[in-house]
Amino acid sequence: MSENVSVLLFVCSLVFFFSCEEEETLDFSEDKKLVLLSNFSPDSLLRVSLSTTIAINGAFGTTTNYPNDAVVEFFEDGIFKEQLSYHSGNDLIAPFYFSNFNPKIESNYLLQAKVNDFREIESRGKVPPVVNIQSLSLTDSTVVEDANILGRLIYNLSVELLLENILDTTQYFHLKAYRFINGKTRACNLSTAEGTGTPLLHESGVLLRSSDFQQGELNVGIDFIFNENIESKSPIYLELRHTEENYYRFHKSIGEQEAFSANQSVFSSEVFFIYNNVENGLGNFSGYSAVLDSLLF
Amino acid sequence: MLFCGFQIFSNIYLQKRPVSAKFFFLFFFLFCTTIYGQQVLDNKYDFVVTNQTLPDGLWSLTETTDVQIVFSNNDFSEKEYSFSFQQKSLRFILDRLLENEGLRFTYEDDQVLILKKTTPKVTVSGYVEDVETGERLIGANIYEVKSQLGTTTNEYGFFSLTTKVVKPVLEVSYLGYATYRLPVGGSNKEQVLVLLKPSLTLTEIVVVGRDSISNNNFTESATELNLSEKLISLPTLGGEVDVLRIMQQLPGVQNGTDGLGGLYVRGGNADQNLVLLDGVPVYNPYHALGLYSIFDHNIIKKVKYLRGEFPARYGGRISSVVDVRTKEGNNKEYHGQGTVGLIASKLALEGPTQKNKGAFFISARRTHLDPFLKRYSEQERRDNGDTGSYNYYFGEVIAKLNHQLSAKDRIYLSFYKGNDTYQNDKETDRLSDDFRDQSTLSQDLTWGNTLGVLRWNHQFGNKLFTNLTATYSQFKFTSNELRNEQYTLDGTVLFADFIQSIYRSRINTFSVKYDVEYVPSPNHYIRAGIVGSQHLFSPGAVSQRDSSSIEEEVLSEDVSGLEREVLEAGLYFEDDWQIGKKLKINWGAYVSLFAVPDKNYLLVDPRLALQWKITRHLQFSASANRMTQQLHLLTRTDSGFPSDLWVPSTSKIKPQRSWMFDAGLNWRFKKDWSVTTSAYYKRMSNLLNYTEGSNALPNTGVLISLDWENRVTTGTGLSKGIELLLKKENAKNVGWLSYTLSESTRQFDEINSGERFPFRYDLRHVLNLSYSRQLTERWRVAGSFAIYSGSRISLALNEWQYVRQDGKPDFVYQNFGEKNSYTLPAYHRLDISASYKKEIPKGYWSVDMGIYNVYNRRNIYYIESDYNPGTQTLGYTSVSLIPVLPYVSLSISI
Repeated sequence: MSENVSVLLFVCSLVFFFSCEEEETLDFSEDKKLVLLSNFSPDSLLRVSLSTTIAINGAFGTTTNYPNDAVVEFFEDGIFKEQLSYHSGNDLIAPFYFSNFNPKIESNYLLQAKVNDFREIESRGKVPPVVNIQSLSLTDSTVVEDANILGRLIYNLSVELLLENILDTTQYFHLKAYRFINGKTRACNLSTAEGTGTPLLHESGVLLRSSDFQQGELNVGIDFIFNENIESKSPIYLELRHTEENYYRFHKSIGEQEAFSANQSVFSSEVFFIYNNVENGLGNFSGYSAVLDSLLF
Repeated sequence: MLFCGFQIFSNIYLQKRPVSAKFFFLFFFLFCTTIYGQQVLDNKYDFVVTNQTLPDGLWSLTETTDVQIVFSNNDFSEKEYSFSFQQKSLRFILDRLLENEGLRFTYEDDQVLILKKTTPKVTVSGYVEDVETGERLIGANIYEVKSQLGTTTNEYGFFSLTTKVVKPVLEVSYLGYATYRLPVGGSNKEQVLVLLKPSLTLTEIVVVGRDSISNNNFTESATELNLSEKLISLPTLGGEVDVLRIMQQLPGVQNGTDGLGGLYVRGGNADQNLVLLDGVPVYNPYHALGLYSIFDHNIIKKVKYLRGEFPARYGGRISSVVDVRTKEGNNKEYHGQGTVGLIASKLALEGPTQKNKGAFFISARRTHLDPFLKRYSEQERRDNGDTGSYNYYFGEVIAKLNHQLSAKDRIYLSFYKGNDTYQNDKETDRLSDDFRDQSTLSQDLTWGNTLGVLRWNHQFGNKLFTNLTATYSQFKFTSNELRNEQYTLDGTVLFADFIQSIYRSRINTFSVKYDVEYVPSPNHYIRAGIVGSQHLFSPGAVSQRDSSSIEEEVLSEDVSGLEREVLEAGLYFEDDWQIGKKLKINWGAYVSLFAVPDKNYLLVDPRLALQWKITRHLQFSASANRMTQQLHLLTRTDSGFPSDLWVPSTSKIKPQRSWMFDAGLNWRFKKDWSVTTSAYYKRMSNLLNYTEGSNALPNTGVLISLDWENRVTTGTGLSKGIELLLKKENAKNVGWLSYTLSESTRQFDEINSGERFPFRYDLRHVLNLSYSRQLTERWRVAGSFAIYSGSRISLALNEWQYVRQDGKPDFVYQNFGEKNSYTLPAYHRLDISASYKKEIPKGYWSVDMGIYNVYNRRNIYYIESDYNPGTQTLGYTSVSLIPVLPYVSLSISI
């Protein structure tokens, strides 16, 4: 019987021991990181956006911080090129760091950034060679008048795009279309066949892989609104960017998280990850080379 | 005699038969030497031996008789003999000398040859049954006393034992039954029926694993759960004894919070467990998202759980085997059992269809919380200003028939159907100034398994047992959902949206299997078999309509043509081979052929396991297993949702495979203690997962199913760990402590940037402590405590702003870091229980009571994002599921 009593005592002591149980306090402290964003090409000077992350569970109203005291250094093929200068931006443009240097095709670039209280970050990128557009032809066109606004036309064009030097290995592209209206750039919506390409929301255009082309050929739909009251007919420009894989993966993932947020599940295991090629930080540093072609409608 | 020989010669010669001269002379020579030999053996001698070994005695006999005696020293024992013969024939003397050494003699070429006696083998086969119910007993030990050879009964109570003992004596024992001794008579082929009587006073081994001794003193590698009272009395969730929940307390098993999400064995996925109900694979063995299994303990006869060694007869899954065998029914008399518990009520009936020949067994269970849940949810909705309710229930029925056609033939027919139902109706009508928001939601979700088995056992001779089985297994999920939403301002409709979706996902498998068990000798137990299966997959939405104020759009309609049929064939061979008294090897292979359009997969899975008995109480075990799984479960949440999709391997998606290496020691010490340690290493390939972003598509869960093949990625898994089980068991107590230290990771090219990440259920430390004690004849108390590392989730702890290529700041995105990089707080829980049982004429009644989660630990099930529209920031709140939960249940069995 004494053994029975000891068993009961043991169970009771366990109960008493845990009776002071309180709700678990979760540790949501963040690991603050630098965010580096730069997509560079030989057609423009190197420009880098550098910011810091914002605690998700921290004080409300925290906004993005763009450090102005960072040391941002740029290397080409392992050789130091220059330290980037800071620009404070304006109401529309976020602060950024810039160089007076145009990256070159096929050169290897390294970017390093140091900011106090943050781990030093670095990332590598390269500009892939140009892939030319062999031909661009209009295959179909429909125009619908907006019943509510006189002179407002909804255009839907189908074009056939043929590339020149598609390789056997996977190549990555970013195709954009835009028009100039009264001196301003207006993006057109692009669409491709189902299962082909990834339309981008945060940047215009569509991301493609060489496998999306049939022997270098791709059919693309271009939608835009033409308001004959305020504009005259002007060409549609198609910009074909031959990108690094890092560029493609980053923009594909960022676009997908946008869509994911709209359909978010309560189950925290079901999340989406943004591709990152910045060591010790977040963001993207990748190159592209672009060619431009135009189309009249 | 010479005359006789001559006579034969004359007859042959006179008949002019074409007999060769060689034949004649050979015959003549043998004949003459035999005659001469007979004379030598009949010569009489005086011969005395005093305290001499037999070889020495035979040397003396050679000297005495001058007849050369040829023998091998190895054939004799070192025993010393004393004999005294006076004027006895050499034949008589040799007979006496050799009779105790199992030897015989012959006279050839002027010499006496001493040879070993060739004893005819005796094969005893038959069945072991419960004398009171006629239920055949699985895993009963049969031990031949003189030869010390043993075997066990198979899943149908059959055994076969071959021995050289002329009149073997069998000792038949089974947990919870009185041991029975059965002398078997003369013939070399004996068929017996052993009837064992239940004995409540005997020590019952509850958890048999590497810590138990089976026949031939080898410890079994499989863990068997015998649902005796000691195990049933352990605390339960809501009074429902559940075998899979008990399994969660064993080493190597990880699970989600409160058991949700199913079993994750040694770092494997939930779909990688081969769960068999009477040999039929079950696709979703859970109710209530994993809180309960479909196996009501009242229907279970035996459960075998394999996590390390996989004999070749098991194929089709890569992580574990849970083989559940259910009761066949009492073929002597009618019985019934009824239970009313907090969660569910149960009724089981059994009885003979023909006395001693056939029986039926039928059992049904249904939860009865739905009226309370409906009333509670109605009130909850009213409090929030809405109308409607939500409800959930599950129910199941199992029906079985068996009939003995002859002493060597028996047929079985069984059927199982289980269903879970969730209903949710909500109507909202909110008026704010002139703005009116009206919405209705109607959800009706049902899912469940349907199983059927037709089986014919036949015994050929005494060594061959065969089993022809036709099985059917179906898992079906159906969802009907209707959403209607309308916003009006001053009576003008601003926005109206109507979505109706009907979603059906189904997998049907029809199989025919032929198994053979052959026991050529006590050292070999050979199993072989062949199986052919047809799988029919029907994933997808039947229709989904979106009717908004702008236009009606048919998103998807009638996709019934997307059904996919695949064929699978399997072939296996295995041999349980005992080499000497200290080593046993199980070797074999499972060959599978999976035929899908444009591709056939022919894969061979070798299996090897060895058990080495180092000392009487210490055993080493090791195994290496290759496993293949042709089917995949696509899951979006890792939470055991019934909407998860079963899909086959295709020409693009290869079958899942694993290599598992396992080694361990089992040591029994003192009287009733044992400790078992194991270490394992498991590598998995071709694991399937949705690619990141698949869920970002609209109409999640519906359209994804239609082109799942384009939205998945394959990867690898790696799992390693160390397990420990310390157990004490005697007549009154059973208690064990299990601990697992493990690590499990995954790597997919298109997930987490291709970097390896922790598995969702990578629980680094898992510790369980369970104890059950018989206080008095009627009272039993039990308690269990579990503590383990928190599961892994992906949680965004910070966010960052995207700056567009034109320099303009854009949206803010969450940073989830590495996948599954956030570890939830440790899970722990204490449960206690007590049970009272009283015998009544022809039965008993019992009351079980207990408290689940005694100290109300708020273990986190998931973390919910909590968006604050005022500040446009995101926070988190944790959601727990089961608080402190007392229970009581009453059972009556007559």
